[in-house]
Amino acid sequence: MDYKYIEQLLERYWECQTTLEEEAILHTFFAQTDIPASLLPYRDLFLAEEQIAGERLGTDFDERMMAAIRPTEETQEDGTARTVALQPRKLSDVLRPLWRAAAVVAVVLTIGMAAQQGFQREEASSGQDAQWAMGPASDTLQLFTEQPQASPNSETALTATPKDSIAIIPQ
Amino acid sequence: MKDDEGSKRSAAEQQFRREMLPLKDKLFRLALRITLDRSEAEDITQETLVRMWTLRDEWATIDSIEAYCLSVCHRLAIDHIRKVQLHAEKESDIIRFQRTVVHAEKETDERLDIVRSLMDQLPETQRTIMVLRDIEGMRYDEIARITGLTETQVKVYLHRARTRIKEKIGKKL
Repeated sequence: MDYKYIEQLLERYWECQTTLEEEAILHTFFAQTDIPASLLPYRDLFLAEEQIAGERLGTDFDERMMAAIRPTEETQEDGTARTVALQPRKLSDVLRPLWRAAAVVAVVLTIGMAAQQGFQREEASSGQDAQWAMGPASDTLQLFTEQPQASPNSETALTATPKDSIAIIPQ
Repeated sequence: MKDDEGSKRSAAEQQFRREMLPLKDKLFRLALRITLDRSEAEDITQETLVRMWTLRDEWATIDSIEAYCLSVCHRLAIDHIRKVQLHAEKESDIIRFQRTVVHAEKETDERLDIVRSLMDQLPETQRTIMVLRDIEGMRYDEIARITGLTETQVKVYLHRARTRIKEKIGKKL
């Protein structure tokens, strides 16, 4: 058998000068088993291409595909098509977690500052209470220190001491 | 109004099933030759088709649905491998893993395995053009449209790819 035509075709194939029809002839030729030794190495290229051409998706792909597009209709109540979010991520989307983190930090700081102010106010007010309490206590002390002069012989003046009066002042 | 929308969507779904869904294997093979990863190729195929579905109001303005789908698929696959390449330190591991996955399929013939491995080792553009021309049997002008190259560039890349395979087949086999 004369393989000159095939050899010429193959030479033109390497140079990208063959038409699609001529390339189909080469594929058909190399699909047969009776190939001369000189052309045998190239058979594997065409067979490998045929093998790749046979690569297919699984049979369940169609159903998964249809399921993937159906929810876009069902979720819309107004009947308009919902765009599936397959667009490239926007900068705002990328920064969203950072904004969330910043918001959390801001909330924590606000609560912390508010709590701190509350404590300071409490401390200040407890200081005022002490001052308020010291007023009557001082008056009482003053009373005891003045009373002996007014009636030095009375029983109260002899038994009550400023030290005792301090003991009854609320701490 | 709702009925109109419903029937419009139903018609679109039928057209989708008729014209786009049958392209799935072609899209898958293109994505697979670019990514060299079955699972990623499947995801890219699905993403391509979902994207086509969201564009259903524009189908009438697209002159070749097949070329358009392949073009979208090509872009998505290229985006994917660029992302993978960003993780340069992991790349060699990923590629090694991908090749293992691809070649773990039913292949028993060692010689065909070698040729497929040679094809996988071609640069991405050459692989893409080779699959579109030699496996899908597309015209040069169609390939140029899908890849965004000129017809001359397509022929140059294909020539390089075929020559490389021819030389390596000569050496290895």
